[in-house]
Amino acid sequence: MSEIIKKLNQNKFFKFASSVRLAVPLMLILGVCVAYGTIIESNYNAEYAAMAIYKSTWFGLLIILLWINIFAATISRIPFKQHHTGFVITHIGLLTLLIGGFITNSNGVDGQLVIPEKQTSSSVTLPHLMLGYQFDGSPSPQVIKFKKTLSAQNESDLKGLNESLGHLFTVKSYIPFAKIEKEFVESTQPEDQGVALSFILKSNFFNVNEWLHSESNPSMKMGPATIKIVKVDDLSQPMLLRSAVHKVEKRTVNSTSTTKSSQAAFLILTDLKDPKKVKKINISELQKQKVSVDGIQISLSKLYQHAVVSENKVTENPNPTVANPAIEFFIEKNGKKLREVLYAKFAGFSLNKDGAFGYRFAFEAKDIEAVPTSPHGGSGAPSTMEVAPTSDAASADMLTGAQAAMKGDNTIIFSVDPKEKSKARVTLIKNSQVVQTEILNEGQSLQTPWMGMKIFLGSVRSKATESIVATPINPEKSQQLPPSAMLIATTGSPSQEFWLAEGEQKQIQIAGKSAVVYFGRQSIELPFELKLEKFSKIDYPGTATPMSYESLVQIGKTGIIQKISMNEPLKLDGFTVYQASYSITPEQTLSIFSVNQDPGRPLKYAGSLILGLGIIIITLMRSRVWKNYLKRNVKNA
Amino acid sequence: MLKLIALLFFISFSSFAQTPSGNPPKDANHAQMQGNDEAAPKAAISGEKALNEFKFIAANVELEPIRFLPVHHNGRLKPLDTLAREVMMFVNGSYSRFSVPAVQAYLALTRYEGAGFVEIVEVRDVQLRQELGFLKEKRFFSLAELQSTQLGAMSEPIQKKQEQNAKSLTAHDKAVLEVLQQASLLSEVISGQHIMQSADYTFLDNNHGAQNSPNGMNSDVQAQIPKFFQSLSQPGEVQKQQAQALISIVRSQKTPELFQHSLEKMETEVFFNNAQFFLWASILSLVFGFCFFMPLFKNKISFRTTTFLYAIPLAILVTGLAFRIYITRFAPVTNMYSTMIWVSFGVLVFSLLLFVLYKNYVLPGLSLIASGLMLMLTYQIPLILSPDLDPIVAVLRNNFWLSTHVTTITISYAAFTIAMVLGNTALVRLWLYRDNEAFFKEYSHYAYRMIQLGCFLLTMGIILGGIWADYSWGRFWGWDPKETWALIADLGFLAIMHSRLIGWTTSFSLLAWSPVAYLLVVMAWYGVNFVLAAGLHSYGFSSGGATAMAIFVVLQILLLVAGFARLRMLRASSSKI
Repeated sequence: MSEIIKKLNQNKFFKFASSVRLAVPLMLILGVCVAYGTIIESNYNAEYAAMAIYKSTWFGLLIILLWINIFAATISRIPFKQHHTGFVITHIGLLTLLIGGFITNSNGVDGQLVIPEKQTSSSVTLPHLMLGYQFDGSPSPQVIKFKKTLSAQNESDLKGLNESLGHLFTVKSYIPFAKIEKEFVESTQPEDQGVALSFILKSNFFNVNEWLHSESNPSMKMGPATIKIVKVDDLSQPMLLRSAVHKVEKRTVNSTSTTKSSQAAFLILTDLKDPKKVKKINISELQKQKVSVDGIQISLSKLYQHAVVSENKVTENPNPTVANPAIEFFIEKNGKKLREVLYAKFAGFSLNKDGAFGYRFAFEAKDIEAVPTSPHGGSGAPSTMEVAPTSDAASADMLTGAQAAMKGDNTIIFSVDPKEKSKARVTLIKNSQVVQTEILNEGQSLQTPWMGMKIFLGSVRSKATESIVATPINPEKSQQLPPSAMLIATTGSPSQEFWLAEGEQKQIQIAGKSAVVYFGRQSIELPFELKLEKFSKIDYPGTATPMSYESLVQIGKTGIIQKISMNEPLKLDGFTVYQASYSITPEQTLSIFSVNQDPGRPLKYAGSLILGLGIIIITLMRSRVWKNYLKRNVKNA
Repeated sequence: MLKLIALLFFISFSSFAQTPSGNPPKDANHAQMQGNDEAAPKAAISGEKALNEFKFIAANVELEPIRFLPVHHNGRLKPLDTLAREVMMFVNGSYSRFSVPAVQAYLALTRYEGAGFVEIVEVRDVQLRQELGFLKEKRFFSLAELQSTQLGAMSEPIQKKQEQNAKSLTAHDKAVLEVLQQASLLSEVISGQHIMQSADYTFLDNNHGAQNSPNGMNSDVQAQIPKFFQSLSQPGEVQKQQAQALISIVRSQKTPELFQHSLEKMETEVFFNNAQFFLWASILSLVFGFCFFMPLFKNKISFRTTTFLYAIPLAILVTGLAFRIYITRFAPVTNMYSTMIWVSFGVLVFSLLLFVLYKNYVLPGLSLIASGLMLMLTYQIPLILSPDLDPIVAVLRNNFWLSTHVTTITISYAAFTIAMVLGNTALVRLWLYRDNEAFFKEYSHYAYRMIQLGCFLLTMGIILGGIWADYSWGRFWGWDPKETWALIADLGFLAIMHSRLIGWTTSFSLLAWSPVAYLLVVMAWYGVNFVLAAGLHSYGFSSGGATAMAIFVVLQILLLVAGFARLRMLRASSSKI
C-alpha cells in the first residue's frame, strides 16, 4: 500500500490533486459561489437559488473535486505517522460527511405533505419534475423523472428524455420560466367544428388583444360593447337586420336547447364542513355571467365537449357525438383567484382536489348531448344562414329598454365561414341598426365610427382548437417564479403539437389510443395515511407572536392520535414528518408538513463525530501540554 | 377583538376623565392622529412652558412602588419601569431625556393636562422634518405640532402600500410610519389607555376572562387606575397608598401560567434595568484597557493585576448575563444585542486565555478596549439593537439547542474578533514604526491561535446547527443563507490557515487577511439578518445601521490596501540601504 502511495506521490498530477495549492482556491471558489447563491435567494427565492447554484451539476462537480482533493491529501500521507493523527481523522470525518450529503441528495426524500383539517392524505409532493402518461384503462401512469434546469432545452438536449419515453410522443422543447397565453390553432380532430379568430381593438384609451371561439367563448363584453363570433355559410351575404324575424324564430330553437341543457349540466358545490349542503349552478347561467355563491365569484373560462374522450366508450356508444365534457372556470374570493378544471367523468382530475374556499367542486353533465355550447352543424340538420350562440344578444329585440340604454347596444359581430380561410366579415351594430359591414383579411383593419376605435383582424381559424402558447420570460425579483413549460408533439399522423405548462395535463392520442399526459411535480405515496384532526397556532398570550405550531394527526385508521409540533416531529416507517408551515383562511385550515427520508443520515452523523474528534485531537496535539509530554518521553528514552 | 377591547377601554376612560376631579378633562382627540384643527385645544401653551410644567409634575411622581407594577406587553409580564423605558425610548429616543426616570416621565404624561404641548416626539429623519414644515435642526416635537402637519394625509397611501406588500416600503415610507406610530403611542399614553390595557390582563386567561365583568375586563383594575392617576398630584404618601392598592389589585388578577414566573421577578427586573451592568462593564473595560498603554501604569502591571483587571468587567458581565437568563429563562443569544454582549464576554475570556499562555501585556489592553467598544456600541444604539427581554419566536423555543448551537457559533465570533483586532493593530502599526517584523511574527502566532480556536468552535457550531436543523426541520443542511454564511466565514478562515502551510500567507499577510475574513463573520452575523433578510432563520430580521456597516467595510478594505502598499514601500526602502 505505502509503495503505491510512494509512487503516486511522484506523479505530478496526483501531487497537485492532493495539494493545498488546489485546496485553498477550491475553498475560496466554493465560498464565492455559495455567497452568490444567498444573494440570489434574497432576490428571488430558495428554489431559484437551488437551481442556479446548490443543485446544479457544476456545483456538484465542484464538491466532487473538493472530495477528491481531500481524499488524495489524506492518502498521500500514508504511511501515517503519529503527528498525522488529528489531520487524518479530521479529513476522514469530512469525507464521510460529504458522502452522507451525496447519498441524501441522490436517494433521500424531501417533500411536502399538505393536509386540510379533518382530511386524510398520504401523497407527498417532491421538488423534482416529471413527465407522465397514462393510457385509458391502464391502472397506473408511466412516470419519467425530469430535472428542472434554468436553461431552455431543445430537442437535441431532450434526446435522453425522448428515448425513455420510447418515442410514444416527443418533447420538442422545454422553457424554465414561461408566460402562458391562450390561443386557437387549426385542429386536426374531426370533432372540433368551431371557428375562432383573434382581434385587436385599439383606441386612445385601450389596446386589447383577444380570442373568440364560436364554441367555448362566443362573445365577450368590453365596456358598453358586445363582441361576438358567428359561424356562417356564406360570407358574401351581409348580415342584415331584416333577418331579425328569422333570428327570433331561431332563437326559440336555441332557447329550448338552453332549457334542455340547463337541466343537464350543473356545477355542483359541496360544503366541506357539511357534505349535505350542496349548491347547484346551472351551466347556462354561468355562460351568461359570473355567478356568485357565498362570496365566491365563479367565472366560466371554457366548456369542453371532448376534453377527455374515451375511445372504447365512443365505439360502444351508438351516438358518435357523445363526449366527455369538462369545464374550466375561475373561482375568486377575497382577491384570491384559482383556476379549476373539472371532468364530468373523472372527478379525481380536479385541480383543487381537496376543495377551495370551503367547497368541493364537481361537474355534472347527465345529458351529454345537450351540453350547452353552440350547435355545431349537427348531422343532417339544414345549415342555417346565421347561427347565433346560445345567449343571443345580437338582435336588439332581446334587450329590454333599460338594458339597451345601459349597454348602449353596441355590437361587433365577426362572421366566419369555415370554407373561406383567413377572412372574416365584421358587422357593427348600434341601436339595432347595422352601421357598417366589411370583409377583412387577416392583418387588415377597420376604422369604426365609435370614438376613433380601430379593429384589427388577427388570425382566423376555420376549425379551431384551443392551445396554450408558452413564451420564455425572466422571473421578476421578489415575485413568485413563473411555471416551466414543455412543447410536446404526438408522433401519430396527423401529428399534434401543444404546450403543457407545469402542473397541467392533456388528453392526446398515442398510436390510436387515448392517453393523458401530465407534466408537473413528482409525488410519492407514504406507506401510511395521516388525518389532520386539528391544527393550532398558539400565540404568546395577548399578542400575535406565535409561540408554537401543533398538529394533531391520526395515523391510518388506527385511532392513534399523535402530536406533531415544531421541534417534535413524527417518525414512522423510516419517514419523518415535521411541522413546516400552515395556512389559515376563513374557509380552511391547512397544515403543511415536510416529509423526509434521509439514507445519508448515519454517515452525516458519523462524519460529524469523526470531524469533531479530529479537530479536538489536532488542537490537543498542538498544545504545549502535549509537546512537553513528547519531550519528556524523548528524554526518558 | 383587541380593537374592540381597546375601544371599550377608551370609552370607560373618557367617562372617568370627566368626573369632577379639580382638573379639566383632557382633550380626548389626542388619541387620534387626524391632523385637523379641531384637535388643537383653544389655549395653546408654549413648548417651553409645557416642558417646565411637565418636568415639575414628573419630579413629583413617587417612583416606588408603582414602578414594580406588573403590566402585560409584547407577550410577557414586565414591570411598569420596563414598559415606560421602552415607550420613552421609542417615542423620545432616550430613557431619561428630561433627567427624570422613564416611569416618572410616563406617569407625568398621563397626568399633565398640557402633555400634548410637550416637545417629546423625536422625528429621526431629517428630510421628513423638512417635509412636515419644520426646521431641520429641530429634533423634538409635541403632539400638537405634529397634529398640525400633513402627517396623517402623508401616511394614508403608505399604509395601503404596507397592507399590499410590506417589502415595498422605502426608507422614507418607514420613517413616516415610525413617526405616526410614535405619535399614536404617545397619545395612547397621554389618554391613559396604554396603562389601562397593559395592567388589565384578565382577558388573557381564557377560562376566567369573563369573571369580573361581562366584557372580559377587570372592573377592579379599571376603577383603581383613575384613583391612582388622581393621587399623582397629591403628597407622596397618598401616591404610595394608591399605587400599592393598584399593585395588589393587578397582582390578584388571574395570570396565564406562562406568565406566573414573571410575577416574582418584578423587583429583580427593575434592579436590572437600573443597574446597567453592561454599561459599567463597558466603561471599566475601556478604562482598564487604556491602562495597559499609559506610560504611567503600563510598567507596573503585573500578572496578578492583569487578571484582576480582567476579573472586574468579567464579573459584571457575567452578573448581567445571569440576570438576563433569570428573567427571560432562555440563553442570552436571541438577538443582535444579546449576541454582541455574549461575544464581548467571549473576547474577554479568550484574550485572558491568550494572556495566561503567552504573558503578553499588549494583548489584554487591546482586547479589553475591543470588548469595551463593542459593549459601548450595543449601549449606544438601542433603537437598532433592541435590548428588550421579550419572548422568542416558536422555532427558538428549545433551550437545549439554543444554549449549545447558538452559543457555540457566536462565541467563535469572539475568537475571530481578537484575530481581527490583532490584524488591524498590525495594519495601523505599519504607519507608526519602520521595523515590524518581530511584531508580525509574534502577533501572527496569537492571531493564528485565535483563528484555530474560532474555526474549531464555528465548525462545531455549524455541525450542532445541522443536527438541530435535522431534528426540527428535517434536513441536516439546506443552504439556508444563515448557515451558508457561517460556512463561508469558516471557509475564509480555513483558507487562511491552509495557505499558511504552503507559505502563501506569511506572518504579515495572516494578520492582514484576518480583518478581511472577519468581514465574512460580520456578514454571517449581521448581514444575513439586517441586509439579506432571507431564509428560515427569520427570528432576527431587522434593519438599520446598514450605512454605518458599509462605511466600516470600505474603511477596512482601504486599511488593508494601504497596509500592503506601506509594507512594500518600507521593504523597498530597507533593501536600498
